[in-house]
Amino acid sequence: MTPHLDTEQMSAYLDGEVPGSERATLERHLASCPDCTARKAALEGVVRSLKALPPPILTEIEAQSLRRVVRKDLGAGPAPGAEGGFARRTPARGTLWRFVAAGAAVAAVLIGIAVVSVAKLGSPSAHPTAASAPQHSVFASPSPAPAALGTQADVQAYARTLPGVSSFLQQLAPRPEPAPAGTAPQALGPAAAGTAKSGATGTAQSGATGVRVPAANVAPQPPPTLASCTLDAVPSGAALLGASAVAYQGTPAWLIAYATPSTSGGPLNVVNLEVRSQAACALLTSTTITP
Amino acid sequence: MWIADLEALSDEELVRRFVDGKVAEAVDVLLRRHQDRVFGLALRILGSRADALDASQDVFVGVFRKASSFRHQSAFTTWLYRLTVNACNDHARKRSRQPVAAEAIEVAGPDGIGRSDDRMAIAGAMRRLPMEQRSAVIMRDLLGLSYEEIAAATDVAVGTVKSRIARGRAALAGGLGEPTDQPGRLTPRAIPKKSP
Repeated sequence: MTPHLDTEQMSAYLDGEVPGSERATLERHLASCPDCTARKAALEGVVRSLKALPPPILTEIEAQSLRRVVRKDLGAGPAPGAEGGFARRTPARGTLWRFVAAGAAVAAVLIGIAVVSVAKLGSPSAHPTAASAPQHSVFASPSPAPAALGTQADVQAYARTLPGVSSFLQQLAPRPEPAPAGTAPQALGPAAAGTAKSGATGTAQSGATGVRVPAANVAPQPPPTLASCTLDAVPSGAALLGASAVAYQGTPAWLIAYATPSTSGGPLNVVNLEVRSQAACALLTSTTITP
Repeated sequence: MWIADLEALSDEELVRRFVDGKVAEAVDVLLRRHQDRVFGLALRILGSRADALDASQDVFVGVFRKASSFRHQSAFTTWLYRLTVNACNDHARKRSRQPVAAEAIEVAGPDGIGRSDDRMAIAGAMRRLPMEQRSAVIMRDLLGLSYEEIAAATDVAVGTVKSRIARGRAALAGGLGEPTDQPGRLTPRAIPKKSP
């Protein structure tokens, strides 16, 4: 009888990392050795158990935080491709924006922000109904009283009144030809977009509570603005449909609506709604409208 | 260039576009493509979600800072895994403690598949593995990397990888017992010693 398999041989055998000639010898031994067969079964059980573990996945908030840190670091440093060695520092806003604004879709965000930023967003107060008139839309004159929303249904109903969202839902045209790089989009709608990130949010989230955002290398953050919060919320390639000041469950918040495709590379056909706190741009709830 | 066009490109080509063409959007595509894998590897090694996030952040900041030094004769993913393992080692060293894998094996998966007590058993056994064995086993059995890829990512010889994986698995088998005829169940039974 041939010698027993040692642990390395056994493990490599399971991985198919044993040469053909040696493999035949090992298999002959396994066929006649209950001891080695039992050990092989034990190792197979370990491998099977490990492979059955669910893969860890970043939450959307964690992924956004990661993107934000990387973008800031790039914005702070020398041109892409330069060697490291520079100190990490908080990027100038303009530098960061030049980076993120490179895509036409993000240019759409900036146009939306430019409109919104001139509006004086008042403190939240009661609003008669969730689906009240869209006077807080980025496309309309601001009103001193943001809509008071309490549920995701309220968010959806209110978002439908935003001109960009309602127009998008009505038209929902096939994915348009992209505009030449560097040109501004014609409108804050699907024509401004490429494709969006995969995994568009579709479930309610309870906000940032309990999620630890990586602290290392992050300089103290200034209070968010609607502009910075929208930049964080809207992924590259998405089309900004609207942004509006609202009060969500009594918290001053911003409702940000943007369109993404339901599948990577597909047409824009999902309206993503994110409600974020004005205090920290923390995600309070998110939902989608799929016509 | 549109994101959709960039998404069709290989990792290596995206790095080239970022370095040579200053295509900043390539960063977003590479991040989205690899963030879960880098985070998953870091989480399995370090055992803490917060530590894994910190390590992932260091990895991607390092990737784009050092993009020009990326040698295109090797796969981008190999380079990425090497940076991840190094970031985890640095992180563990800074904390002056052996990283634990308590969270590394999440007890309750999002799909609800699997038995939580089995996962707890694996978590306990993983926690006791030396760092280099844990990293090798994770890269092989959870990420499906070949011995050569693991060797490149950890900067050791293939024979060393083979040995680390074998010893790690054997230790896990010893800590878990062996499978019974009940799928997914493990019983605490000793494994025969190494053959003479």
